[in-house]
Amino acid sequence: MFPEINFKADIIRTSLGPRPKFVLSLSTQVRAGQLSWRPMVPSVVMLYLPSRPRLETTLAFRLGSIPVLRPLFAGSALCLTPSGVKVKFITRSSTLIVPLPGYVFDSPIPGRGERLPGIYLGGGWFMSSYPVDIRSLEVHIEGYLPCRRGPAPAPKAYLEVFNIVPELLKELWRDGLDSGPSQELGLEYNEIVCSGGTIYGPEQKEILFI
Amino acid sequence: MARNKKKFFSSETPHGEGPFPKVIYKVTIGPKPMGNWRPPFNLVLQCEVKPGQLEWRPYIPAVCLLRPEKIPHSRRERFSLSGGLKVYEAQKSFWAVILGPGAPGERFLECPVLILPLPGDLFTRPQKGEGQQCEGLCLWDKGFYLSPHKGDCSSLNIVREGYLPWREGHPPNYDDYMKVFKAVFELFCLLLEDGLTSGDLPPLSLEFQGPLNQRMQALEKPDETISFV
Repeated sequence: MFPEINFKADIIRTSLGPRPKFVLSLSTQVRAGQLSWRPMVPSVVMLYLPSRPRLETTLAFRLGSIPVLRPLFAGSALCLTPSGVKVKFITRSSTLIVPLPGYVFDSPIPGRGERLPGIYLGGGWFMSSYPVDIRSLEVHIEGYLPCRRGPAPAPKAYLEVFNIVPELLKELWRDGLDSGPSQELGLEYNEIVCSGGTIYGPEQKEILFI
Repeated sequence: MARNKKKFFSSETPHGEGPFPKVIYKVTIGPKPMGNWRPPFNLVLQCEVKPGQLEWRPYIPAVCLLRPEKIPHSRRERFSLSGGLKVYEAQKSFWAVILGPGAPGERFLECPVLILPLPGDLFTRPQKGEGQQCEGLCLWDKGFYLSPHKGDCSSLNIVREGYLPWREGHPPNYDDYMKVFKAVFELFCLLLEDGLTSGDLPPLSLEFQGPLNQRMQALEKPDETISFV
């Protein structure tokens, strides 16, 4: 029923700067017979900070101890795509936000780069093996954790949040299961018309056919 | 009126059939698979008028099924069907995105148009999130007279297909749509009775024979009875 998910989250030291790099990659392929109910799978991007104060959220659910938020109102959120482009996404009731323990950055050098407070899951496509839907999903997000000089959270706290992404995807794949299969309903008349009824004529006068 | 109706019901056509034609009306909804799929619907209305039937030439105006918000404000109630369903007649022509006849899209519907309120939208594709969203369904977009007479429409073969909106539920409930589809048949039967308000008329004639002065005398003496034959 559910496809297999290949997920990897790594935190690595690089020579580019003192901020440790994180790489989050997820891939999955739908085979025939899987996800036949066509769940909607969202785009996965990083939330860009300037939109955060305008984005009022509420707790949607918890996956383990990690809260998953939902916007309170429809609006928009500025996000940073993996290619580094800022894109405004429309937030709907189905949008989900996974807040990170602290900011992550798109630059390895302290003092530079955009501050990214969470993972944004919104918009999206229907996923199934049917022709009009997406059959595979590839998510690749790179960024930099804050330096540990000062009150920055430990990398382990970030890894815990990253690791819920496949669990979240499995949860999202349940979308559509609230609409069950239905049998054919039929209605058939095969008769000589001979009906009675009340007709309201041009003068709104009641004429009764007997 | 009732007398007219009784007359029609008691009479028979040369083919031994009644004055009303046989109507085949069939609607199916579904089946729908589990998940983000829309149930298909299929509507068939067939009617063939044989000689001697519908001699009163009922006028069948354009008939649409539309979302309540799309029914023009300028309207009046025309029929009240069983189950409390109302049929409105648009008083002004209007635009609407509709399914059929022809390609789905925005169409200008000219008066007179009868409108049955539809519970929601209709779609052109079975997949939720795909296809065109239509505000209603048009059975026929122009009025016509239905009779076996030359120049009138003598047979109908309406087939409309599409998809109902996605709904949650195990199974999802589409009884409200079925109620409207059922009402279409009732409305069509009522429309076939159009024209029966104008009954038969035996020949009336007026003839006068005689010299002009005789008529003048008659007018001067109103008590005298003069018969015009």
